[in-house]
Amino acid sequence: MTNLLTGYLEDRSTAQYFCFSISCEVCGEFWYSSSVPFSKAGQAAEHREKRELYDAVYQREKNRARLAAGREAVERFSQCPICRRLVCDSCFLICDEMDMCRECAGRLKESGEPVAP
Amino acid sequence: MLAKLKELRALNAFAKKQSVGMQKKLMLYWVSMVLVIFAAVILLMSVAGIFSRNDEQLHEVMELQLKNTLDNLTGHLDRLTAQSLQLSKELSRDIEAVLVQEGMSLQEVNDDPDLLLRLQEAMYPLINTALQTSNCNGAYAILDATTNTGLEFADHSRSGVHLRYANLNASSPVSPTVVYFRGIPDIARQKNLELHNRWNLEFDTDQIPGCRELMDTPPDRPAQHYFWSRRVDLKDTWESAMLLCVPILGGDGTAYGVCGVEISALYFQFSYPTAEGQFGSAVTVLAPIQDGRLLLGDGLTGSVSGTYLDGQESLVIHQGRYYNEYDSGSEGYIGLHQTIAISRGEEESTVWAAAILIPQDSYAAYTAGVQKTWIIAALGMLLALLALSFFLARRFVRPITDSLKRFQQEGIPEQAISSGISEVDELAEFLNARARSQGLEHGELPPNIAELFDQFVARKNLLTESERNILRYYVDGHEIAEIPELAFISMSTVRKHNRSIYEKLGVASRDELMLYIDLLRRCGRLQELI
Repeated sequence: MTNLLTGYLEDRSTAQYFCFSISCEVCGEFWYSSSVPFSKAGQAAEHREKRELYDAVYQREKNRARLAAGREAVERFSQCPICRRLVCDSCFLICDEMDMCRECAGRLKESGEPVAP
Repeated sequence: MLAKLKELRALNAFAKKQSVGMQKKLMLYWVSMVLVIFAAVILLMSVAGIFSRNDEQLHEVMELQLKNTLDNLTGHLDRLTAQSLQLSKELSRDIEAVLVQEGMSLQEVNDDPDLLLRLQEAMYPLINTALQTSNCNGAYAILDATTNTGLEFADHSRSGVHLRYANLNASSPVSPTVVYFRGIPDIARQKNLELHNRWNLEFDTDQIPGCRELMDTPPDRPAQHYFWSRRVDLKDTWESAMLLCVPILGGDGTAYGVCGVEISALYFQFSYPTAEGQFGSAVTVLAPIQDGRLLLGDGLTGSVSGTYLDGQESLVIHQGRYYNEYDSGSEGYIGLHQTIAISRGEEESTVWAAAILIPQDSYAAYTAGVQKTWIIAALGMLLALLALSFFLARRFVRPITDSLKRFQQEGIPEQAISSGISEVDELAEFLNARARSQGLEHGELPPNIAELFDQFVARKNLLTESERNILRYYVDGHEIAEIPELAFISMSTVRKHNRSIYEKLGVASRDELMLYIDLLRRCGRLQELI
């Protein structure tokens, strides 16, 4: 699931911090991960070699922040087993037979209760 | 003998192998103990002399009776002796006075009826007084002279006076009638006395053993030699009596004759009644002992009512520890005797004894009664002890049998059985615990746990398919963090399912849920859950 979510993450990072977002494929709402500051933010590269080093550090910390954002998104997003879309807890219903997104539930006439009301 | 012993051993070994009920065994122990205690008590009582106490009591009673009898008899005979000695003295004086007055000696009185009459007239008041004042039934005085020396039996026929009580009976012993038994009848007419129906003029001295010798060889003083004759038959009568013979001595030392008192067998019987006691009727006897025999025929016997004595027996004496036995050949008596000196100066060594005799049958009947009482009491006690043994054994075993019944009825009781005996309770608890552990080893669950599991498994039907899907992950051993990865659902969804699962299955936490799953897995019932 984490890998799946990581694939869905959209990069919202800046030079100072790392941030990612996922949008619910049912309601379109965006979820933003917690911002993680770049360790070298605000430090000016004195020369080209330094800038190249800072770029490598930036990429490494960004990857780490992406993984953390994926783990964070696991708390809130599920994959609908019917339509295979990624949906937020507000659009994901707990149904008797099988949990599914609100739209699939409506189509299949299944009743359920959203995970996050 | 050896073969029998072997057989007995084999029987004992066989008996030991047999399974005997606890109550029976306990009863056997109790009975053994009771019998041992009973035997010990009997032995102790026997050693302490409880059973020979009858003999001791009899000895004490008879000793007391003998002492009383001896005191009475000695006092009685001593008084009679003293009165007879006094009579002898007074007679001597009066006879001598008459003889001096007549100027004659006693030998010259023979064939002189008038002088004899005068002498007897002088003697009569003294004899009568002696009779009235003495505790006897007759008094007499014999003169060494006869009315007719020409008669064939003149050598043993002697003149004298003998007064007796005639109508002795038990109902009026104090007002008897004096009759004239021997003597010149003129005196009887003068004194208005009735002649005895067997009256004789003179005494036959052959009828009184020792009388002749006493007159022939007179002592210096009357007190030196006097004696009680053996019981003699009074001539021509059915009566017999003992006579106290005291010499009448003249001033020159010659014997004037013999005087004394008479105690008839009948009088003695009235004087010494039987003493009725718990052991039987005690008869008083005054009799000589010769060659280890008590000669009743030669002595006097008190009242014999309640016994078979006829006063003529010759009883063989067997000395005993507590009492003597007196055997007449046909009848047996028990009693005590003690020698008593009633004569003095006698050459013949006749030993007189005062004795108390009780029929052996009466004593045997008494002891049999006492023994019967003892036996009944002992049997009663034994029965009571046996009943107590039975009761105690039953009471002791009852909790055990009750517990056993409960075991049989309930199988393994859920609650600990309290029998009242700690060892039994411990044994029951031990058996219970072992049965439970054996059950668990065979996959069985304790009844309360099984019920709990049943309820738990039954509640799984409340779960939805989605929840059951989550539960299956747990059953497969996955952690909660792994479920979003596996089920492609959010952690919030998992938590929401968890809450619902916990609520429906009645558990408070995931740990408790996992404990159920683990226990069901161990019991092989996990399949029921999924």
